[in-house]
Amino acid sequence: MNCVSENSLRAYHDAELSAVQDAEIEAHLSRCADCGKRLGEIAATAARVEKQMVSLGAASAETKIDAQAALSRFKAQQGAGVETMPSRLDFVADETNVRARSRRWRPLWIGAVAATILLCSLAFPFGRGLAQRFLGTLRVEKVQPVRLDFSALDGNRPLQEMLRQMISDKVVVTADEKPQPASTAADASQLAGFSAHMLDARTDTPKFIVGGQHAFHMTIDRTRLQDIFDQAGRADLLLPATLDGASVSVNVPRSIMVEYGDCPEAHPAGSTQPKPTQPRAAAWANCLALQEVPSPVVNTPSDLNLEQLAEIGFQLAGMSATQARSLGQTIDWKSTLVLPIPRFATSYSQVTVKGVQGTLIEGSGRGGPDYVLVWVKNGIIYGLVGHGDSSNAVALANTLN
Amino acid sequence: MWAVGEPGVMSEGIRVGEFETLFVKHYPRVVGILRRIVGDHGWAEDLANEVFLKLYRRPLAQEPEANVGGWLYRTSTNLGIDALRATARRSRFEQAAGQDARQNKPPENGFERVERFEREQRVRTVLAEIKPPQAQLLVMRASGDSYKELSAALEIEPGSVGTLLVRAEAAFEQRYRELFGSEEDV
Repeated sequence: MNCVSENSLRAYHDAELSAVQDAEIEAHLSRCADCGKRLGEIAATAARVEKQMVSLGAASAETKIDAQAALSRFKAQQGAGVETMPSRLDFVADETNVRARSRRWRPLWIGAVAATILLCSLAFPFGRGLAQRFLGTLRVEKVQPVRLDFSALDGNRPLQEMLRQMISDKVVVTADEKPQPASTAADASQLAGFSAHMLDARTDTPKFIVGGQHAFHMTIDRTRLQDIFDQAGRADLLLPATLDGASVSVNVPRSIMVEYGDCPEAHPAGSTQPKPTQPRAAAWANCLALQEVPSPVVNTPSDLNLEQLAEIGFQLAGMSATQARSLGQTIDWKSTLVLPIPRFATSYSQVTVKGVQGTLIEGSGRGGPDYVLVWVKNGIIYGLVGHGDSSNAVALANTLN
Repeated sequence: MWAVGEPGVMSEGIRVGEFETLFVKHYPRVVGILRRIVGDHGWAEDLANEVFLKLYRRPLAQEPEANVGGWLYRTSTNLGIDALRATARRSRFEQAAGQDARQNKPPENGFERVERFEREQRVRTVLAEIKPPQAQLLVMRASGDSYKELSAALEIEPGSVGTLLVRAEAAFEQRYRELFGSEEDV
């Protein structure tokens, strides 16, 4: 037998070989001083290192680990949790309509704006200097996908009533315009007050809809907000005293929706018209909706410690205090749109669109897969909603003129 | 990419019940491995949650349960060693290790306690300095894994585990001497 390999000597030392292999090596060692010496060196090194490594293990053994309790904590920390992994929102009444398609994603879009209003207005850590007394202003420059879960608030009727009442009492709406159609891009641009952008990849003539401006202001009532937290089961979250009486104003400018494709007309409930017989997936294959809205503007008092409130907001959305703090520290609140990932999403990824970072969220509905791609450039937030394969979404968005 | 699935189904493969079973089965060992690496129980639990979150969001998870265990341990050691190597966290590690040593209140005198803490700190420093796969191998071997288990978890050839162990130990010793000089232990 030739000399024993280092691998075999080590395996022999660790009793990892079969009885036959052990016998062969022992026979060799009995007549080979070199291998015996090498085995001695390997064993000595192994013993020294093992002694060091075991010292780490000694401390580890002292704490009893309750896996069931850990699982409960894990589920609580992950918001929707393991038992309620994201479910689809089956709220689309008639998915043969492209407008209905965009409605499917509307909660996401509205959620994005709502998150801007809620989190950015509550978490804008600018200008704490006493000298800076004028209003601070937020404008969105980029998007940050965040998995938030407010499901704990669902079905809590007293809470919903408290929220409704507070909004009714405290929120003063100063603009609430209806959407209106426009016949051309020039008309849409004139109505919206900014230039409509279109996709060069689509040569068909799109439809234009100009969304209305929405604006409101409110004075924060800390006591009532604290009551709402209590009702939401989060009495542990304490709002800072500086929040009381703070004035927040929000202005969401007019938007433009550009709709492409040979899309079926609406088929409202009760209509006597026959429903389209074309398969849904095929009917939507060519439909594409591009939404464009200038950054909402949020004004808050500059001396309010709002970073702390963002952490509270994240905790309300199911995060642990540690997670909320970690996440809050990674976000530049002056310029970031917090984008809640909807529950019906099957996946999301960060992509580059027109040289900036965007977020591609994919979902799956009754009519097959769909997606929304969100990015921000030059002060405009873009949302591209499409049906079918999302692999072309970024390429399509990159043809924005 | 984060992948999520249908209600009650995770990541195209693992179902809710399976995930919970895997969590309860492997969590103690995952925390144990991580605590051995980072030296702080709370930190180890945070990292363990990250490990299971990765499993939870894993796009493809069709492997047999045994392989999921290997994946969990490999991911745990990866995360733990990454955490050790992150210089930004180094001060936290030292602080945490200090707290850990104080909180454990082992039946030893002050001198022994300080000595043990310093020794652990030196070992962790060396683990953070050598190649991560070597550190992984040493940590998992010290956790009691057999060659077969090491091979499966770390995706290395069964026939080369011995050689890799010898090399990892040699690297550990060499770096230890470079950093802390020649001592009796190493």
